[in-house]
Amino acid sequence: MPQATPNTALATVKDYITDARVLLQDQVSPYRYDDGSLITSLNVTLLQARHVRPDLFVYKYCGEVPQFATDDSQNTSKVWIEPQFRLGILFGLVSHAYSRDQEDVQDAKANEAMQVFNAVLTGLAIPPIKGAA
Amino acid sequence: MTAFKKDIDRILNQARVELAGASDAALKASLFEVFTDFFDWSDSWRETITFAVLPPNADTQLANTQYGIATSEGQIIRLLGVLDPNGVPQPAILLLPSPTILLQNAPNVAQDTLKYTAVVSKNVVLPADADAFPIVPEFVLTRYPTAIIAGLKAKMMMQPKMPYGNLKMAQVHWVSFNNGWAQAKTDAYHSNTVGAQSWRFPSGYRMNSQRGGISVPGDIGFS
Repeated sequence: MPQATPNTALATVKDYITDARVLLQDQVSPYRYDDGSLITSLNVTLLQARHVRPDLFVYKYCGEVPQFATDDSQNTSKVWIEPQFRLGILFGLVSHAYSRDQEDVQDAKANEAMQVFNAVLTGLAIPPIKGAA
Repeated sequence: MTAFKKDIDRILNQARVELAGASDAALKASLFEVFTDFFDWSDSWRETITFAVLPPNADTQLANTQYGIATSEGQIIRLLGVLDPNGVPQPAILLLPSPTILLQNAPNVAQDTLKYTAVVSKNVVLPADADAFPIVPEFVLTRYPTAIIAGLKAKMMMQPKMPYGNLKMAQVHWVSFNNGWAQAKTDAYHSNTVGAQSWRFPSGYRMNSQRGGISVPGDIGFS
């Protein structure tokens, strides 16, 4: 039986930051969302993930929620989330980043991203991403 | 012998397919409960433990009747019987949490030591293995995989508001799990025979009655 290479997408803090910048369309320095704020968004998203899916933190983190340093944008620390739930964490991070903006478009995108976060962690079908109204 | 990794992976893979949205952590945590119930209700995980019994002698006129026993895997939960070297059941009880056999009678033969045999029922215990899978004997996953997977699906599907939650199907799987551990119990008590009655020592020598004013703590036969 062929052995598949384990999927390492969204395995480290750096992976989340890098992919979040793609979704936020913020890949050119100077960034609108600095690395520290994105890592803060990741930490907060993990808190919410612990709220809706505590089983994700039972073994690797012994029930606690990890916290990653906000001053290390090249943080290669592993984020021990099971592969099928990592996309949800990413969208939760993006939703939190959008939430600080005041434009209506950003609010809608924040809500959509949060819906994806909830769908991945608690449901099955990811809702469609709608364009801006 | 502990369960093989291939059998463990098969169980988990089947659960992953049928319980979409479940995390591996939740599966392993629920599996511990499934195995706990399975072994507790079926008494199918058994071990024969031999321990040395000292008769009274000139130095120790009051013979010791308490003997600690131990197992390398799992935990001892029940004493099924104690046999002396002649295969005669001996009245005894099991003290817990530190498993200690308390014999009613000390042997009265003039020997240095005697080897008694205790048959105990066991259950899973923490810690689990490095992958957080419960340490279980090999036979349970090779002989009763259907029951184990049914119990796992039942426990997982009982969780409401989860993508794999389904109370009706949980009931269906629970019935299948109950049938499974009941079969395991039957197999264990009939020593894996078909059509044979459960073994008991000839009734003339059994001492599980109150006749003669002798009270016997607990059942000493293999019933």
